[in-house]
Amino acid sequence: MSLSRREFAKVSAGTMLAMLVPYQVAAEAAKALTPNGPRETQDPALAEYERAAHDWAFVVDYQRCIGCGKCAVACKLENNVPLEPHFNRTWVERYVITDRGEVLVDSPDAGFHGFHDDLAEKYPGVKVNESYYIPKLCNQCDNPPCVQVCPVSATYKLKDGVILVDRKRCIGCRYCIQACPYGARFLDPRVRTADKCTWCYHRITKDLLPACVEACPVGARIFGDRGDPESRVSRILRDEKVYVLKPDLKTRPRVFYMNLPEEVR
Amino acid sequence: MPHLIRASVILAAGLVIALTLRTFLTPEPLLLSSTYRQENVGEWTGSGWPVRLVGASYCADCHKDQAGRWQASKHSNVACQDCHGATQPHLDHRASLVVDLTRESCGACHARNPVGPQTFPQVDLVTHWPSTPCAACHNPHDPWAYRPSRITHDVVGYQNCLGCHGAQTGVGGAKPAPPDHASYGNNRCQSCHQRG
Amino acid sequence: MPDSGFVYPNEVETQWSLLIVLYPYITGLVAGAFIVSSSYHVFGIASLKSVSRFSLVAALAFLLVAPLPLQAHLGHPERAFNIFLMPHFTSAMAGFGYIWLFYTVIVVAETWLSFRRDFVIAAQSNTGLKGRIYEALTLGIHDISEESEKADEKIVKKLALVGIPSAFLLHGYVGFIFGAIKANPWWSSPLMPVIFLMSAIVSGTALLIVLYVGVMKVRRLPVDRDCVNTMGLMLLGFLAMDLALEGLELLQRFYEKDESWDIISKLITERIPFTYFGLQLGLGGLLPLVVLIFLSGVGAKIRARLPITVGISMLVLVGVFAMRWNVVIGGQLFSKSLRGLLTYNPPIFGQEGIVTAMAVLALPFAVFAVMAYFTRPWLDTVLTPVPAEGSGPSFPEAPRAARHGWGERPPTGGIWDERRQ
Repeated sequence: MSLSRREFAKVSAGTMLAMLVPYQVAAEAAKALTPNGPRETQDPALAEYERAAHDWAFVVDYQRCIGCGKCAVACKLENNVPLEPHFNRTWVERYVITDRGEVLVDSPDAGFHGFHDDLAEKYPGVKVNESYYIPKLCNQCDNPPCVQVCPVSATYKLKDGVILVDRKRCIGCRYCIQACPYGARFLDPRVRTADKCTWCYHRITKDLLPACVEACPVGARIFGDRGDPESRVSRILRDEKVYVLKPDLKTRPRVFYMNLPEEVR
Repeated sequence: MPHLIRASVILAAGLVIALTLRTFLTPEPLLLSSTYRQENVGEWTGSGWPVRLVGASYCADCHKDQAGRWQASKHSNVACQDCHGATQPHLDHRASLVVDLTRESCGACHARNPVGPQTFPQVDLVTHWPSTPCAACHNPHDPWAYRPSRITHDVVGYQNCLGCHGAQTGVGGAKPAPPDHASYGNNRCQSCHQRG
Repeated sequence: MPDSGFVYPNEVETQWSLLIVLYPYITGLVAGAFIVSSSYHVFGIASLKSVSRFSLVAALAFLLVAPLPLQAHLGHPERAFNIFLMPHFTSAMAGFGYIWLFYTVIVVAETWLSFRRDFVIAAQSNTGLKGRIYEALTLGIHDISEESEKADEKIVKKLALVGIPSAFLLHGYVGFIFGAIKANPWWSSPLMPVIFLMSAIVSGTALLIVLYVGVMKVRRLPVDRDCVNTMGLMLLGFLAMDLALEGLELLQRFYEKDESWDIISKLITERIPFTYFGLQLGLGGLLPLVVLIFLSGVGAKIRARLPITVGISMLVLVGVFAMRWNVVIGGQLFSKSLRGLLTYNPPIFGQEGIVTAMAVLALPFAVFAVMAYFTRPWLDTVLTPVPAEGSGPSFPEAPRAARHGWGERPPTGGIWDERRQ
């Protein structure tokens, strides 16, 4: 080697810069020129859907919930979720408050088959003070810990509020599942990548409602655009007292529960 | 020092090769890699992810009568797909939709349930016409089309319904029980006629 | 399996398994071994000279195996390189790729520079495949002059210096991976990276004690007791710090009794009492601490000091493994609803089974054996008594002339010469 160290350093640094800088510049320019993203508009169904024009939110009126489980069934049918009870994009929990103030929670089969067991048999000797159902799903948080911890940017948040998982990029490390405080995520064993409720993104971008919202026979699930001041969710968010799950974690969820009792986590 | 230079060159060469490979192996350029792969949005909304449950807005196009009746009924909040299942295949290629009309199926919503809103119509499946299919009385598209009249008076002290509502008109203009009630017996009136 | 209380339906499956317990264990051993080596180069603790190169080889062997349990556990192991290709900079886990790579470069460089002279000599005196391997290790340059040795030493010192914060980063980020998860109250703590680091240094030092004594016994060479005693003192110091931090964390939880205390107290008393109180804090913590205090003070001159130190080190190794288990598995044995507990029983076979774990844990030792075959770090053992206090009995020098095995000519010059004094 006849190069001196200084010369060598200069040459190698120069080569790297020469290679990377023009490529970077071109890439940045391409990104700046396409607001929605360079390749998304290829899908014709999305051609009319302007993401920035929507601000999706979800409201749950749990007091209407009858625990029928139609939402869970509709979700699994619509989104091809594995049918085993421990893979759920949405589920229903049953809360039973005893007269001694104990909070007993269960979710047999995640509510898929409804709740038809005998409470007296399940909780023998318990006097029930209060009981209700709480539907749960991904909160599509505005400060999402799951997006923050993904090592490969496989999960990401869109401008209209929905968080999606890239099945082709996800390496299946399960960090996002650990980071979600609500248990909304799971690893789909068939594709071995993370999965979660997407608010039926393939439906809401086509002017349909999420499957669970449409399936609910009592109107416990409400979905809409809070960017539209006249939409039902906007009016609820404005006029009713709404709560979110685990507010102390500051994940800023987009799923709002009306009149949520404090024992619900 | 020649060995240091040689080692550094090997290291630098490795770095350059890695960076070059990286530039070609990833869809995003170097600094933009911490953004998501933008094609993925299209993968979630495109043909690879079809809609499977379509609702009344589609069903009504062909099934106008049922949809119209359903729309005006007490079941108007119950989506077609709740009972009819995955409806898109039917829309696509007329796949047949089998409806589960067993008592358990209706009971998924209507079985007696102490949890949840008690104003929701519930019935004790064990005592309410145990061996009759629900659809025998309740048209799923119009469940209260046949609707037993409600009891408008206090029931305490009025246990013997047939005392007033027997074959002849009774006290206070009580309506007599119709002939098809003959086999029902005196103690099953309240399983259909609710207080209201 | 959920077997008590309520768990979210998706939580029934344990996400991070036995393999994820192994990863921080292995990187901890690396960080600890490297700190011991750097203690000689940077802090000038002369009595550690016998293991300064030995620990580098050990650190490198474990470092090379470290990514294996991670990759084996992924849902898509073939996409593991995505960590390098598209790292997401807000994720601590994304740091794995570049931190590990950077650190590997440092350790490889330092190890290579430390042994380069020996490789050159060996390349000149060995033939056949062995000779070719040594030749490759010299990168084709046979300059072992005084000047090149000085240059190597300077760089080794710099690398050892840079390596210390890098080792902190390598293991600290693992602690941060857990400590920054606010969803899990057993993990979420600012103390987590520091606890991981302290227990890493503890485990690395213990590993070196066991490995060094083990290798010397296998090679039938006398052990540098002074070196082992110094490592024992290091072990004592870091173990004390580690236990103080772990105890502090528990104490604070117990004192504050916040929302998660109910389920966490159930966790540590019903699900992991044996591994937490028994192994991590007890057999692997307080017992070694007490014995090491004894050995450093009153018991400094007892004959059994060496075997006791080795035995204590083995307990410490088990204790640190238990600590990793308690953090990784323990954190998944209760629901995020804070209302229920689960159990985890690793399968015996399968991608994440016990057999795989044992293989992954055995592999670094195999790699070490191969590397040690070429680097022969046991020859570094200095047996002349330390001048000042004469704290240990002195042993006769190893029969070096018959055993050095580095070809017919005994090594001369550079660091080999120091030993002749």
